[in-house]
Amino acid sequence: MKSTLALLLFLSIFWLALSGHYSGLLLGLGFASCLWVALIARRMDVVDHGGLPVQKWSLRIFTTFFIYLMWLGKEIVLSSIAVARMILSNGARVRPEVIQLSVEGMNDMEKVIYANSITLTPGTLTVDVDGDWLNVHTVRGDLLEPLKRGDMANRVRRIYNRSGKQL
Amino acid sequence: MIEIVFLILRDVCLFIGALFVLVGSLGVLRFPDFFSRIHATGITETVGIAFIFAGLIVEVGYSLTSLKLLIILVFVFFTSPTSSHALAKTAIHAGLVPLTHKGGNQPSN
Repeated sequence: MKSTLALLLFLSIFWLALSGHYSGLLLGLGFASCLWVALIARRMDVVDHGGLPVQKWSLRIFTTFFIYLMWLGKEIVLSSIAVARMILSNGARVRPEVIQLSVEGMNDMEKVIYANSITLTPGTLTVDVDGDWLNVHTVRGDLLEPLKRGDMANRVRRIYNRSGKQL
Repeated sequence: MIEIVFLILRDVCLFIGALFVLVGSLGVLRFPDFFSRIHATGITETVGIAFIFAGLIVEVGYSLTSLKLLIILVFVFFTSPTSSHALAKTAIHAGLVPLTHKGGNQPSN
């Protein structure tokens, strides 16, 4: 129930932000459609298992997640520059590799964040998720060094674990 | 005075963004195989788009439109790794083998 209400709240705010209409009729219609969508989602049983585990939310998770996003942004910019330099050089530095990274002990949400972060960082790409292993393709071996050292994995784990909560 | 600063900021952001998009497109042409080319588009859809949208947000200023631009940016950051992953996984399952420098199969330009 809490998740459905959170979904309804989120949809309503989202609708308000996108529409920019504030007259009574349109507000009512917008809210009605949000309510309708939330009810359908609840009936389809996709609310509680999806990406909105509200009962676990806390200010701390938001803070750690925000810090993680800042760090990820920095990594994205750095590896973008590395890949851009590879493209602009004569191309001889392209050394594609495929390796496997362990994600043992991560829950589903952490795996999703980790795999997506790897793909979002230019130069590395999650090709497949196989149980506790990620198949990662890279365009040059040394771009994988931070991943092999486990920098990113540790930071992903810290998003939830520092607050002592498991998803 | 402050308007000139914003103008310069906007132009610099748009220029850097356009540069990264250009480099990404160039990479699609220059990289040797399918999987490497996905990495080249990775530049376009992260840094390139981020800078272009940052420039557009500066241009639009404090309004509902800039919030919408921000939301589009967030959505792109959610969907682009998903589509890259889907492409790569499909290619693997269809039997395309990634080129590696270890197998003696040297990437050629």
